[in-house]
Amino acid sequence: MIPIALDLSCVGATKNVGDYVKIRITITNQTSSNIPEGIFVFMNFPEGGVWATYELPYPILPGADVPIHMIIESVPTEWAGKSMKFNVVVYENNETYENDGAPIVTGSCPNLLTIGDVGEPVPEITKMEVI
Amino acid sequence: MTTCDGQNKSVGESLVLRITINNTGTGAVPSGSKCHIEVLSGSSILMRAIATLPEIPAGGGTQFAGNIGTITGEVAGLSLDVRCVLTVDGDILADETCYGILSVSSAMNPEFQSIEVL
Repeated sequence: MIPIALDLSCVGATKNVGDYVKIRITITNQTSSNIPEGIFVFMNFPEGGVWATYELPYPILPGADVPIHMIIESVPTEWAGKSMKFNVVVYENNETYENDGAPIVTGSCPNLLTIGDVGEPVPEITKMEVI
Repeated sequence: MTTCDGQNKSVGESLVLRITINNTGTGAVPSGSKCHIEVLSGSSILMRAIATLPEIPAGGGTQFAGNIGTITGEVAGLSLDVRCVLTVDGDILADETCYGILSVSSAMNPEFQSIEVL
């Protein structure tokens, strides 16, 4: 087993329905040895059904950072008024993940994303034409 | 404020309406909301139609056009009103009427062909 500890620093934000959201996950190797390539990261908002994966394409040297970005193109209406927990699960490799193997480490950021309430629609019939 | 753009039509012609709706609120108008269209003469409803709308995002708008039906001789010579009642899940969110937007020309159009003293 690769000795990886997950020391999560969670910096949350408030967004609104329809917003574009970019979540940056930074992996820092705080050990004195390389984190090998192939490490597989699964991340999700479990209450929102949104997930992403990332496979480390190269080793992370001691002290080095690797940023991963997860994009939500448009915050769904169903998330309105909620605080969303974000989970990170690290596996040794993709195969372990695919076979439901044990993760190396898991972590979560409660309330990472807070979504504002949906506003009220105010439709106006601006024009009627006989054509 | 609704802009009303009228026309003169004749009996037998199709009545086609185009309606523009803007959403000035901060929430979306959900898809499936309806515009209940009525063609009125005074308080009498002469024609009805229902348009089902797509989602209108906050700050967005939509425009649709539809054939309401054929103008019959019963309304010849009348000036008609068109009403759109916009509902979302049964709640009325907008209700506008354009008065006199449709003038139907008279079906009667007599012409003297000849005048003779016999």
